[in-house]
Amino acid sequence: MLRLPADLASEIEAHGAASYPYEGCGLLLGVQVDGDNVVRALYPVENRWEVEEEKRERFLITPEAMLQAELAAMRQGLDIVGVFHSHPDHPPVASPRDLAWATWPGYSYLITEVRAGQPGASRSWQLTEDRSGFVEEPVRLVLQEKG
Amino acid sequence: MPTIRIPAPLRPYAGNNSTVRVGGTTAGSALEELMRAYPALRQHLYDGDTLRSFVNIFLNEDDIRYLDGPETPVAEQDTLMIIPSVAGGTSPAGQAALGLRAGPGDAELSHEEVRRYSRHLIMPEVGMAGQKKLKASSVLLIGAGGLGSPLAMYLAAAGVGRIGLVDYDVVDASNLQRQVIHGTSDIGRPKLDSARDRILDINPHVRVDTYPVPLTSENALEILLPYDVVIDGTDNFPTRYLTNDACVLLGKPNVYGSIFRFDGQVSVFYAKEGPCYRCLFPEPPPPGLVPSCAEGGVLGILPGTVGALQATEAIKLLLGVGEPLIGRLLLYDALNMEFTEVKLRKNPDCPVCGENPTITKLIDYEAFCGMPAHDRSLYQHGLDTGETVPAISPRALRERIARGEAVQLLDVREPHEWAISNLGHLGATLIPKNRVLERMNELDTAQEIVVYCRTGARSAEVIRLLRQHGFGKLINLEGGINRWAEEVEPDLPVY
Repeated sequence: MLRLPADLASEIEAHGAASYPYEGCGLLLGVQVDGDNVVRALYPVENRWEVEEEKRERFLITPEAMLQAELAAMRQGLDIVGVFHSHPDHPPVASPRDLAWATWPGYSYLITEVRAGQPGASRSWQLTEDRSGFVEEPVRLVLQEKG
Repeated sequence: MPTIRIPAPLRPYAGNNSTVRVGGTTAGSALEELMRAYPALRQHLYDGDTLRSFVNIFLNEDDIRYLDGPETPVAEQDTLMIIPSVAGGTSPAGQAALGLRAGPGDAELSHEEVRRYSRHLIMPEVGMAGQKKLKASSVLLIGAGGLGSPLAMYLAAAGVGRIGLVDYDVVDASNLQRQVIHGTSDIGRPKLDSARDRILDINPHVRVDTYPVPLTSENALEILLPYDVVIDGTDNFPTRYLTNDACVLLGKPNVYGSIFRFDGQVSVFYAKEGPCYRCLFPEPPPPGLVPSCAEGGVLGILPGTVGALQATEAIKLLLGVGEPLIGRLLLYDALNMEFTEVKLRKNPDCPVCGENPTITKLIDYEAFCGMPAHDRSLYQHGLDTGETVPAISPRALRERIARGEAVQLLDVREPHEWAISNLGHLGATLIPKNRVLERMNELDTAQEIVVYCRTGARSAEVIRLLRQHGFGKLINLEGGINRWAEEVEPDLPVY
């Protein structure tokens, strides 16, 4: 399960809308509690997919950005627990492309649909242990959990 | 002892530690130490012997790729960080999940295969998962001729795990101008033997299934059943309708291609997602209207182009990437070097894939098309409409000419065929088949005329046609000028 503070959920939606028509992306920082990914902070990053026009349907977070996110998380006593990105004019469903580039089971892949610039539904996915696909995980909106 | 920081999702595989201190004096040996301590980590970091493509190792804050790679020295106080690069995106438009059974976990690649497919593996659209999918997938080629040649060679090279071939023919010298899977030394061999040898030479990891029989309504479902994708490389209408209907009944995609002279067509008929061949052509053309490649000729390179397009579509279907040619017919005009595309609609009244299908099992396709599907067919109707034509063998004709009998010879081929070989030295006249009616006043109805073409089919049609216009003394030269050349005048070329 992904536990997401409501204010951060709004920030993620706003980030997706601001990135439209391109895909927006970033990292979910938080902690793991009893197998749940509990988000405490966001680390938005620039979509560094190299071909400008393809950013409408592609995103890339470079290893350098990941490193900085990891270091930022460490400074706050947190970890990277997932990735968020937007699907402009596409449903928030993990795609074959997401699968082709997937990293590890355990990260939450939170996808937000953005239709004509307006944020829509967000759904979260996790890679299966055998890397063959994504399975949906519940998203629970929570008040910011401090500490 | 350097420290390795473990990313959060991998900690369950590393004793729930966020950092691990390991031995080793280089980045590579430190990672090996980590794998030894926590073997369950390996599958998430390595693919075979190499780090997974998205995994990056940073020494303090530098990517070791820009240092000395795995040989980068590490010291006591150093920290190694395992950092993924993250990417993804939406599905390309039109990418339909085809529900193909191959999953990336179904096949493993050996080190040799990884080297062989490396140019695929570095493409995000293929990658390790895609290449394994290809290995776990299967394609059936109907025909190992002009289209089947590039199809089999490219699909084998690309790593499709299982390739089935249906063809009963033997290699003939006249095939070699376009059927590049066969060589000169293969003349006279069964095409499937020759094709199998070539495929296994290109890629010994491919399983080749051969079906040295004509595809018929009796065997088609059984032959097609095990394959993910069927590719139509046939040269005749009965087999084309048979392939289409069998694919619709079995729910399989049919990658269609056809060639004639300088023109090619390609589409993907997949009734689950779009139209089938019958939606486009509910009825076959009248027998004799559309000449085959054997009658009309074909640019030798054309099947290479069209077959390569079909192979591309098959690979896309198997990988589930890109936009397939479902609902689109691609027309290729090699003479003007133009590609055009027409949209195809699914016909709700289609007798096989429509809402109320009337064809629910395979039928007699030779009767449906009014023509034989292959030269081993017992089908006798259609082309000759049951009406036999008087015929003479080349040897018998030579006897008559040698006896000094006045025999008029009529050649009904095209002028460029006349240029290859002709019987002008015996007084033959050339009137191409499609001009016979307008020029029949040049012929004498009372005179005995021996009509010939390349192999005897067109001349028989001309005789039937002229009979309806009062010509009663027409005789067909059996086997055409080719058989004449083989049996009577070896100096003439056979084509």
